[in-house]
Amino acid sequence: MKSETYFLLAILIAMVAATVIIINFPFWQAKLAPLTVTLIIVILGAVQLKREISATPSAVSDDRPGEASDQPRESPRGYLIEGVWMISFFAGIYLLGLLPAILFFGIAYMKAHGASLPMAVIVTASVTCFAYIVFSYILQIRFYQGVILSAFLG
Amino acid sequence: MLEAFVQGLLNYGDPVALGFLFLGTCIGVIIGFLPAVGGLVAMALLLPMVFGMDRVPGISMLLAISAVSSTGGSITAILMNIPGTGPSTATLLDGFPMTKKGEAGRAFGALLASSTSGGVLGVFMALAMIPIVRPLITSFGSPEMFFLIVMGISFLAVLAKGSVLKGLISGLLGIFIAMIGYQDSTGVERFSFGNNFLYDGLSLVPVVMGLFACVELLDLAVSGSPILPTDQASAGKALRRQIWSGMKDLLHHRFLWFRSCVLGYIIGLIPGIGGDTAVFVAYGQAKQTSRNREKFGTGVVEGIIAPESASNAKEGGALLTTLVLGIPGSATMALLMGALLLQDVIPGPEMLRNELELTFTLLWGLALANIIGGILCYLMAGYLNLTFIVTIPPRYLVPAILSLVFVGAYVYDKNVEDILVTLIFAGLGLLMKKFGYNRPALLLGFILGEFFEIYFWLSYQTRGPFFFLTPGSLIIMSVIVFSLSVEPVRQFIDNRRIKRTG
Repeated sequence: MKSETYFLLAILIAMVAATVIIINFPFWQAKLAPLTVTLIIVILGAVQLKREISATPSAVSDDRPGEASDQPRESPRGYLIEGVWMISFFAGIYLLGLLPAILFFGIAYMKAHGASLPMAVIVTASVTCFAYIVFSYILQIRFYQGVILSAFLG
Repeated sequence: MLEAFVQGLLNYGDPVALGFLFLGTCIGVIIGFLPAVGGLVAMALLLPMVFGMDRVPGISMLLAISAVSSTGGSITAILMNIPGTGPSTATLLDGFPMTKKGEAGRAFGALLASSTSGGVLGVFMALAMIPIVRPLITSFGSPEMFFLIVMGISFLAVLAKGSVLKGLISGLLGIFIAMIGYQDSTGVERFSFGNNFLYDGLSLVPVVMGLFACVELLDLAVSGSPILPTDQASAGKALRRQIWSGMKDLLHHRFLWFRSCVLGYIIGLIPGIGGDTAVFVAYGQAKQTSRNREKFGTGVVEGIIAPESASNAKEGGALLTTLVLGIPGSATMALLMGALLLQDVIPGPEMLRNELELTFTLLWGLALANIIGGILCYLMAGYLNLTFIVTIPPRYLVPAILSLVFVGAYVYDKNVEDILVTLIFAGLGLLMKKFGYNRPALLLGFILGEFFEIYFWLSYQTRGPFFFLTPGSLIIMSVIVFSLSVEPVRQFIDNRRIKRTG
């Protein structure tokens, strides 16, 4: 089976599980709309699954080229690496706070991808200043301080 | 009435009123361009100021922000495939492909001309319809509203690139995700699993940022190349020539522009539907009536003219409904209503009797804001050379935009968990993009999910299980069935022709 079929299967399993949960909601008003939606997804998903498993040209004649068809085929490893960078950025935000994490992540990412240190510092500092001026100074929004900084400040 | 009509325009001869309208327009364009901030946030922040001001300058400023912020949001949709506002999602379907073809300037030109002229035409339609607006709006009940929402989602599923079934599944998934959290009327917790964060459901901004912004940044980072090479990106005079060419495209497609404005205006009149349905219905009719329908989604200028005209024309309808019926059609209109109440103005039928001059003043303000916004956007696009953004190497662009994306996701509700939501939807969005599912349909379903449920339940309660048998519902259902069946029927006919000739 192709990867997209596994993806569709995951959606179908999630919707079937959701349907079972919805049936146990106490009020009909809370059940009607989500039950209708999950059942329709299951029906449409089953039809699409049958088409993908059959995988004859007529069975997938409904399939027009989607967004993926005009993208170059990149390896999953590249997405995994960039995904790890994004998750690390979030971890940095959670631990250090928004502004320090932007500084650290920005410089680290740019250096790791071949930028010079002065350019990395200039660009990251500019972005940090912009975020601070627009959101913190003008819009008066208090940035998340991070677990470590919050512990220091009590 | 004629006197009030003229006096409404003359009120902007006062430099203070015009100045605040201009200020609101500037704020609206810039705010729309910034990810995650949006016109609603700007209006909310400036609402307390209105209390101490004269009513025309104060309310005009807020109105201008609401009128032009979607235009600013469409600029990021064209340049980076990141919708700055909900209605901008339709613009990216053809706007970003045009940028990748080196036609960003032409896309800007079409955007500016369509949004400015659409906004002005929407106002004139509002002015003309003042006498007949009440019976038109009250003819739409819950069943009609429900099917209008279904029509918006199904149009997007059918008309965007990719499998129709996958598009419908995406839209329905979006509706399902919108139902996470406690339900207002019963208090039942749905799919929150005892988590306090999920109790209020998911917010729009983190979902948009994850589905679109993060996915595009991931693709950009992995490719290692800028969106467009520097030698292919237009700048200076060449860019301005492209922008003018895009503006002239509006003349070549004037009938499409007019139809889209009318559709957008009528849907804008109906409270509770919002701009997102209007832009996709307009996009849908543009594709169905085009001679180049197979090229939609690859970068055709009609794919920008239709949604942008509808998006701005709808503001005239929404404003009229807010003023004359006292029913705000969207969150921004609700804020505007708040501003009116702060000024001791009660929206409703009395506006046409006792405050007719103010009604005309606000409608004129909307028209002027669209014109000023168009000029500002032209100056920004043509002279600030915004297209340089697409030539920046990913090693600089990705961390910069990602930082703003995460900040934007956080500031909406001041929850760091929203950044985690953004990451989760980034993963989902990447898989959807790779496997041919329709991200805009999921987003539209998410935005309209709450209204879908409300009108579904109201229709069922008031008219029973056969609520779809009202005349309005049957008409809208026929349009939905027609749009869903056009492509399969056309393919069937083509296959038979090939078999006969082959």
